[in-house]
Amino acid sequence: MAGDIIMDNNYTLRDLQAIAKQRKIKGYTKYRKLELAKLLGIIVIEGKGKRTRGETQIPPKILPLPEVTRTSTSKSKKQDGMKQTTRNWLDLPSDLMANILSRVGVIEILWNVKVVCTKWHEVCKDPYVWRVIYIDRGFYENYRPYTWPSCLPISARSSKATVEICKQAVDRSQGELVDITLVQFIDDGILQYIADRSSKLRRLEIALSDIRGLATAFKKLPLLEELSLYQGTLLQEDIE
Amino acid sequence: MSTSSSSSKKIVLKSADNETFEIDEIVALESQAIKNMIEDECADNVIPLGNIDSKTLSKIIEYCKKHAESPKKDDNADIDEKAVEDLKSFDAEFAKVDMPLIQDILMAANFLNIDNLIGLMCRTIADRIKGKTPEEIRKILNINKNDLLSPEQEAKAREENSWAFD
Repeated sequence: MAGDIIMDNNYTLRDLQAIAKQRKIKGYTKYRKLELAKLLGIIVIEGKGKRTRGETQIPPKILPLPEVTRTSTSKSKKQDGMKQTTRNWLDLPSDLMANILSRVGVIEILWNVKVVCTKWHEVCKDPYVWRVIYIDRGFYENYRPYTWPSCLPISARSSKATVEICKQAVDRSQGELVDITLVQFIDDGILQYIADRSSKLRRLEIALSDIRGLATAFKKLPLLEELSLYQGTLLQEDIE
Repeated sequence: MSTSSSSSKKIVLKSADNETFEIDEIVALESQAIKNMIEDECADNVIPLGNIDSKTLSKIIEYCKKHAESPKKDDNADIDEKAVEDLKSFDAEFAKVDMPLIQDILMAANFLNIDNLIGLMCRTIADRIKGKTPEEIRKILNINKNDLLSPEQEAKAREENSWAFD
């Protein structure tokens, strides 16, 4: 029990809201979870339970009621149990961990975050963290005023490394990937690689890259609903 | 559903340490969880929040008040830029607290389902982690020595990063 991470492999309300936001659905915050899921055509399974890694169908979580205790800190919880002096970051529910990690960046997760401690090592393996992937090869150069961060290997800037990093991220999603954004890198194989492993993909965005092989990739992505291409060139035969 | 007439209605929240906070309903509605409770009519006059202490709760109320007062992005496309900027700088100031409090606020916001606040806290934590070495991250998060990877595990984890060694 001690080492267990409580996982919710299903969509949380926030997942659904995030998707709704991306799809620019008006007033999405007003919907309850099930209504929103229905609206988005996503199946949400009800029930309670704890996930063990590898299971596909999971514990559903509906809105918490006030008497619910803080996740996994319930032992020896007195009325003023919040006065614990040491908070354990590892007690955060996995959807919050995933939320945080999704804002950190793929390279930093693979290089730094996953070796921080055993729990984060495990969390970083969870497909939950990798359902939304954003990789921008130009990120550090274009958007940071300073140079390549010293905490990351310089070799990670190459296109080749970026493709490898992308593949690892896709592998880690274990088919759960729903949303991927690739900025300023692409190679002929990567779209195919993603398509072969991501039958649940709903949104694909490619920016600042030349794209080939979209048509064949599409055939393997039955759920794809949104495709964004920015400042890229597209081969004529792929536009159909 | 909520009209201006409802803005005068009061909701009382009670923290784990039995402090009560009387707030306008419109402020409480920033919490999707409380909103649902009110709509389902399962909220009594006083809503007990047995897992949120008064320090955290007062921060959360401060946040909800500010956000309830601000014009909502979704509702109105041409809201004035000043309000947006004002809210942004409020958020930035709000997030300038120590990590334990950030965690408490995050847990509570998650519990109360306050989407913007969850986002703000997660972003704040991510920003503090970004660009840091594993050692620095451990310090920031106050990770216990017992929770570290063994040297073998770490070496193995590093090996997966073969892309960095070409």
